[in-house]
Amino acid sequence: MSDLHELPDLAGDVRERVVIPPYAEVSRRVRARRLRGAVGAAAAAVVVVAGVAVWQSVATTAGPSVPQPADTTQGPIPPTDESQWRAVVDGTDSHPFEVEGTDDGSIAVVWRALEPGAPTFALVIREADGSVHGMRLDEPVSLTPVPGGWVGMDGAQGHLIGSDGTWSDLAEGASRSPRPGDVLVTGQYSSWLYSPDYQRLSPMPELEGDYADAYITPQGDVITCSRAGNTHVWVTMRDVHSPWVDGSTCTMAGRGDAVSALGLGDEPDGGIPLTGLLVRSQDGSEFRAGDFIALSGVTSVTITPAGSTLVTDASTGDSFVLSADHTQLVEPDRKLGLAFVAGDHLYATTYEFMNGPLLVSDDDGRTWRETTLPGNESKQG
Amino acid sequence: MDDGRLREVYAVAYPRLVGQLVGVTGDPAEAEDAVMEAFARAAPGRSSFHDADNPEAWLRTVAVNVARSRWRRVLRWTHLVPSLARSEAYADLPEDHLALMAALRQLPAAQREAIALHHLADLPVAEVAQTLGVPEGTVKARLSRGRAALAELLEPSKEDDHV
Repeated sequence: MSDLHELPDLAGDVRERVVIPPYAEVSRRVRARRLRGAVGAAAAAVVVVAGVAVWQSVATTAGPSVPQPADTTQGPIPPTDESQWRAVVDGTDSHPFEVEGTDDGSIAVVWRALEPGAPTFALVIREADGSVHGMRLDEPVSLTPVPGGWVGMDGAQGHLIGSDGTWSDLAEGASRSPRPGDVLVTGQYSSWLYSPDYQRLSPMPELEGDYADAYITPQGDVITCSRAGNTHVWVTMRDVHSPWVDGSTCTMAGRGDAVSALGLGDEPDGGIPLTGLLVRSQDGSEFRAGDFIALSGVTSVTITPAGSTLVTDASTGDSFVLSADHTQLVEPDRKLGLAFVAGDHLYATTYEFMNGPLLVSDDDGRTWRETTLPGNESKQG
Repeated sequence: MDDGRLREVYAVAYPRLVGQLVGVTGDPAEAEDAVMEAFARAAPGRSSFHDADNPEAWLRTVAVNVARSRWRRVLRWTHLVPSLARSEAYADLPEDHLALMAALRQLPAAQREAIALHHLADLPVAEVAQTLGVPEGTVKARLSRGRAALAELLEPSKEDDHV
């Protein structure tokens, strides 16, 4: 095809423009990778819903859907003329970058569009009653569900994002021990405890052992998964220890008293395969190895409203559900992306993070039907 | 531990790898991020890098794998370092470069990777096959389909140029 002989020298022109970062940036990233193993979940998209059972009584008020005045520190979402966030949702190769639900049934989507020069981002929230709020973002935020909304982390800055579309910066207090109702929020370099009562972030206190991830139970107990050397991981709560399973690092998910931990490999080529699964017994007295399907990657691990464990690999769409009593291993009837819970419903995005329908399951992950991803309402039908 | 070797490779190969990856990602910022992540993975303790006969090829393979996984891109925003890419550095890229990147992003990933590494990065088919971990015949097939698709995608912009 002669056309391609006339292609511009894209590689050469980009090479000439590259500003080589100081080598210290490599070291910084290496440190961050280690810290990720030490203080954060290995799977960023992992849905960790701490103490949901005690949140269900928290009420939220439906906010107005009209644009609000600008206020970067407290109050409604900054001026977000609908055209601004719509330009991202409808932009070049737009796709859901991160999706999370919260206890009142609302769903938040961080959209990304691959515009020439630099990607663009927007946050779209759809409440349970169908009200939609949106804003354009300068940078994406990671979302952790909390009562009535999410904590959004932008670097080390935390924001409280209400499901009614409000946005406020979170203050940071002194380090303290976990309390009932706390939610663990993981950032780039460290982790925090979020208190729904005081709406503050507090640095997570130092914990013993080479732990990789943690979960705060509704009672305020800390469950950690830790590395035993480079090949095994295990789970600990007070004096209760699990057996070891394979894994270079691990990540956890919890919902009320149900907790699961995944052992993850760390391949030199970037792969993070699922290598082990630990589950908490229904009476909470012990942790044991659970059955699993050896996925080649892990995008999300979610405790479903029924207490089952759903693990997905958005790259391939492969997934499985381990029932709440840990006796049945089920493969869903279609490929799934990132799974999450909103209210009492179990959702998943289209796999490969494509801009497709949102999927919802009414039978604990066995079968799925299509609904609309927040932001795509106008394209419905 | 051989940090000195990695430093040497970094100084020489970083810009070249970013140039090679830009076609794979369709975005210079993402190319920089993928290459930086590859260097981080090559850091001391990663014996497979230090045993590699061709360190640059090792880095390229890892960077392509990083670029492939969207989860990786999600991951960096929450638990990894901030993006190092400075988009302003590429703000003055010519219009035809931007059109090419836009067209590349519309290709299926397998075709885009083959086109980017062979036609844009000038790597031989054998080296592309090695980087992507597929047989040479597969690369040739992807190149053939990718060329046809890319030519079609670029056609409208060429017509516009003549207006």
